[in-house]
Amino acid sequence: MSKTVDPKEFSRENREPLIKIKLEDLLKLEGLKEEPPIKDPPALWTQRYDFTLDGHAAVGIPIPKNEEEKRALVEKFLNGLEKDLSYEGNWTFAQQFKLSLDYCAKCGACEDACPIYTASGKQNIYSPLYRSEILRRIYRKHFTAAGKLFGTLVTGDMDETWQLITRLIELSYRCNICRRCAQVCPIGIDNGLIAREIRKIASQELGIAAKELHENGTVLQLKVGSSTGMNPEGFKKIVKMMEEDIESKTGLRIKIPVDEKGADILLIHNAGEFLSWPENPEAYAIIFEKAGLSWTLSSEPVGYDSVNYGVWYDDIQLARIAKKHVEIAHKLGVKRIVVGECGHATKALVVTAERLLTRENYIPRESVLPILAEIVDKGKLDLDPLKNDFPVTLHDPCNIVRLSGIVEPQRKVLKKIAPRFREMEPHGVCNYCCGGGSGFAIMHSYNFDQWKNKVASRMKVKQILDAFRQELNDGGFKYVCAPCSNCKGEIRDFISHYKLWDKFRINYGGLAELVVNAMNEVKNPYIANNEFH
Amino acid sequence: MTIVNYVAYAAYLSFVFCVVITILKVSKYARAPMHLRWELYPVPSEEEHEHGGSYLERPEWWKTDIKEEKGSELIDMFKEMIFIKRLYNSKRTQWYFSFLFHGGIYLLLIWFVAIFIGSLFELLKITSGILFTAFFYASLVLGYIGISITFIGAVGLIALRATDKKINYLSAPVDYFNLSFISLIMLSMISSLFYDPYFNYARSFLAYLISGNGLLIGFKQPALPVASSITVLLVCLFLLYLPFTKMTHFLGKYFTYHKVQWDSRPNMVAERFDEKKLELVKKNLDLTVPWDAPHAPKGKRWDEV
Repeated sequence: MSKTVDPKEFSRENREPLIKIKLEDLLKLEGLKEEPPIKDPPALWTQRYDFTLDGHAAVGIPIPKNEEEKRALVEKFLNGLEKDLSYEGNWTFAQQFKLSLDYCAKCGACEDACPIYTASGKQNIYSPLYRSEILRRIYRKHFTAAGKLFGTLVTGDMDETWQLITRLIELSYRCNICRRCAQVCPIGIDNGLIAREIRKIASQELGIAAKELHENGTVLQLKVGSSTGMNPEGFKKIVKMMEEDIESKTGLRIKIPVDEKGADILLIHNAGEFLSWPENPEAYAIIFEKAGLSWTLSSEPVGYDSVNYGVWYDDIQLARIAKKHVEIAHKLGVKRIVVGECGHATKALVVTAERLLTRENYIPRESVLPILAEIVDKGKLDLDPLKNDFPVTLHDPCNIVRLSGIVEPQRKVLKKIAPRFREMEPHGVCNYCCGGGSGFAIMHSYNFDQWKNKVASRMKVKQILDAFRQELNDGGFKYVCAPCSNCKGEIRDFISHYKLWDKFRINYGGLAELVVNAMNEVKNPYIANNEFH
Repeated sequence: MTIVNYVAYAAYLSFVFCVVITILKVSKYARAPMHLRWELYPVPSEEEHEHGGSYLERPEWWKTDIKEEKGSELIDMFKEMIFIKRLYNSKRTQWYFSFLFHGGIYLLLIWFVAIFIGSLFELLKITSGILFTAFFYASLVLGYIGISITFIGAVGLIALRATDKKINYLSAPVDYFNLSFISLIMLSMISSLFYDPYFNYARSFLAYLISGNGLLIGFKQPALPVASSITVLLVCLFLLYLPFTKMTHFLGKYFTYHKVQWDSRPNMVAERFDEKKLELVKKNLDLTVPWDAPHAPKGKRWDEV
């Protein structure tokens, strides 16, 4: 049975988790007879870090050592909230943030739209409304005349403890910021944005953020060139290896252009692709060469990694990375930047960065998907769809569909090259997140993987099982096409966790790989149907 | 000074107060700096809106002419305003009462217009004719239905809030108070109907208000039943309270839809810059970073981060 935690209890100081995740409460997965059990966190962690939200930690905020530290946590958060509410301090998002704090009618329409809330067995602390209401109570108490005058009559009852703050920050990392909740809200309230702003206050004022996003993410990327830790030399070596790999796999000799000044396109992939899924950038190298495009990769630090984790938690880091991408493009003298198959990078650079660019540094930016669709549509490649004669379903990355409106190009491609393509339900702009959204795909600290696999990804697991229901147990190869690096990372994790490859031969990969697999010029299968990685 | 004078002054004062505070509140939102883009698809003004798409589906989109389909934006806006479409799709139980409640308020607003026109007839001493009759009966139909369904909707929403375990524990006393206040006004209006079943007193009182207490245009001070006076005073109190509450979400909604979720226009269309937007970008990048975390360049301009 899921437990209802009221805000007063949420703010109370204690050492016990507010809720405990149990298998029997979670969304049922038809077709899956068993799954790994849920383990409690070791005492070593819970003694040092605050695990009292749900027995899991994404950020792992250290327990304050004394009263002074406890007070400082609350005060700093309030300072940060004040800055976040000011147009000067938060010109980037204050308008939509304030609107979302001021006008929620608390109708609860957002709750069932949230895959995390639904998959958790409707644990109320995961509801989009709940998280925002906790922040709204703090906001109303300190920053509205009504709250100051009428107290709990307006704000509702809640204590202001250090654990209110630590739990709230942890709770902001129980939201994928997929913004499905905002899509169904009759007033247009954006509870996903509120989660992001809580993260932002924590990061920009308290210096608290998920390690994988900040220290090992944006900071590392700006320092060495990539959040993977890959430096320019390492990148160049990988490019050489990719050329060899292409030749050995396909027999095609392709020279991958790097730092070609004056090329038309600067193609930037998520650097995770080079390390985990090189077949995707290799596929683009093949396709772009065969289509005769003028393009290049960059070996400048940051120029070979499209990721911009700032979009999930920090405007300063967001601006720094976007600016760097644009600078590199100008230095190369390219006419446009094309972002590879990566959802959040597309959203960050193509959409969000638009209003960070002045006339002097403006450069057009676009997703690779419309270009791929045009190449396939215009018949620039000799394709045989029967080479992809296995069941294929499409995962819609939230950042590409709901948040950027790129819905049809990937479908156009699949309809031409995958005869057994079928949609998940729901799909397109109403899709569900893979569970890796807002940085979860790369976050593995403490026992967060367990929470992700059991709760955040559960809805997507269900959708995939449903999409392949007809052939689930036939032992045949099945392909989840996910044109996004982070989504692929998350899908890889949950396929392993639920043993979907071992049990049902469900594999995953990008879109470009399917295109190359269908090319007549490529004799051997480009997608191996007998291995999972 | 009679009671009617006091009621009239209260009406003027509360109306002006409500309008001024609301304008100030709206202008505060309207004056906000241009924020980073944060649209949410489907965006109805996009040519590709039928499948939830955008101009970003076009290769080299900045070279294309990006049209704004204002008609389709209006259709979506009205579907949302009149039918509360999103609530209908996502929480049907809530929608039934919400639709009655909001529908009732819309009818009461139209009823007010009918009463207003009726009061103009009274000022102009028109007491017959097709238009007079039409507005007279329209006000009856609109008023009776409007009052009833607003009341049913408000009470239903209170009951739902109190019994829905998913939202009642998150409701502060003020959430019940707002709906109760409107229910009380509706009850008061119902009690006024016993003394003023044809809204004749209401029309005369409004005519008296328009006449500036009979000072601007000669108009005899009308009588006003006690029940009607109480109703007017309750509405006055409501007008004083309204601008400070989330009940002004009808205004917030304009911004959340038009200025956030549907604001997807790029700074370059058909290879031409939107100069106004570029100016606003420059202005924003001139602002100073106030944040205190170690990595935040406090005191620097955004342009220098």
